[in-house]
Amino acid sequence: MEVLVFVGRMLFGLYWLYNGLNHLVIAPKALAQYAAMKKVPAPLGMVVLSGLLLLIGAITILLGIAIPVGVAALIVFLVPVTFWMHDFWNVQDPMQRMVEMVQFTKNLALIGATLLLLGIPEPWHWSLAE
Amino acid sequence: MNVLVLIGRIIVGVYYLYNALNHLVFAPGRLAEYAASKGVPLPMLAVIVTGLLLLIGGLSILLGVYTRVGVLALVLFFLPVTFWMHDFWNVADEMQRMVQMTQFVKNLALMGSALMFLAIPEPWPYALKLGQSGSRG
Repeated sequence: MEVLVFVGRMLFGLYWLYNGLNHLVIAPKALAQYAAMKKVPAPLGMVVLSGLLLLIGAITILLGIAIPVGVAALIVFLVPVTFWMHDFWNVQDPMQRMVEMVQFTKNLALIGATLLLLGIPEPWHWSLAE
Repeated sequence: MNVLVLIGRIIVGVYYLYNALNHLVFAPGRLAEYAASKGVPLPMLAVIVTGLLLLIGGLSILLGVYTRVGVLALVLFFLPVTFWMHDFWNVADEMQRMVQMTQFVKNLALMGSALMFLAIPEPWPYALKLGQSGSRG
């Protein structure tokens, strides 16, 4: 069971790390353009800020330390991003609307999953906090 | 903290339940068409079986009962669906490829989170007490 939990943790943590690096290193400009298109104020600043939140979430989950801090960072990232960037109710094109709705609901699921991590007793197995 | 966990549980449970109803009630025909376009054999049956897996996962998480069975059902759902339906590496159109890649990695993240739920000690806080005296949790 512990191995399965660890595999899940790596998948979940690496997902946030990948997105953090996407915001900060791989594609900050492309993401800022996309954010600007969605009328986000100070788009590049927001991409970097949200990238830092993603990074905090990723590191805490991967290392198994300061979990409530990581969960808070991810929730602070997910709530505005989900409602601002995936506002499917404002999208006219039906195909695009469906794509955004899937993203919206998947992000809600990620919010819920992140909150559920608070139900795992600390210290986590195979973590730096152990 | 338990309240936050409960909120998370309801969101996740309702998410899977919503997708189960999509497979089983709201749009089985349309999803089967989509699956057929991706070369899934017996697409209607595949949509129903995956819908049942989502239903098991959604109900178990929502009610907090048989959560190990629920996680297993979700993993059995995610593995084939993610690799078959969101095979971004086979998509030629660049925009479509990016959409599918986002779905692919998001599904892996959700599957990872489902595996992590195995670490939440049972009985889950505020779980439906099924076949228990109520003395535990």
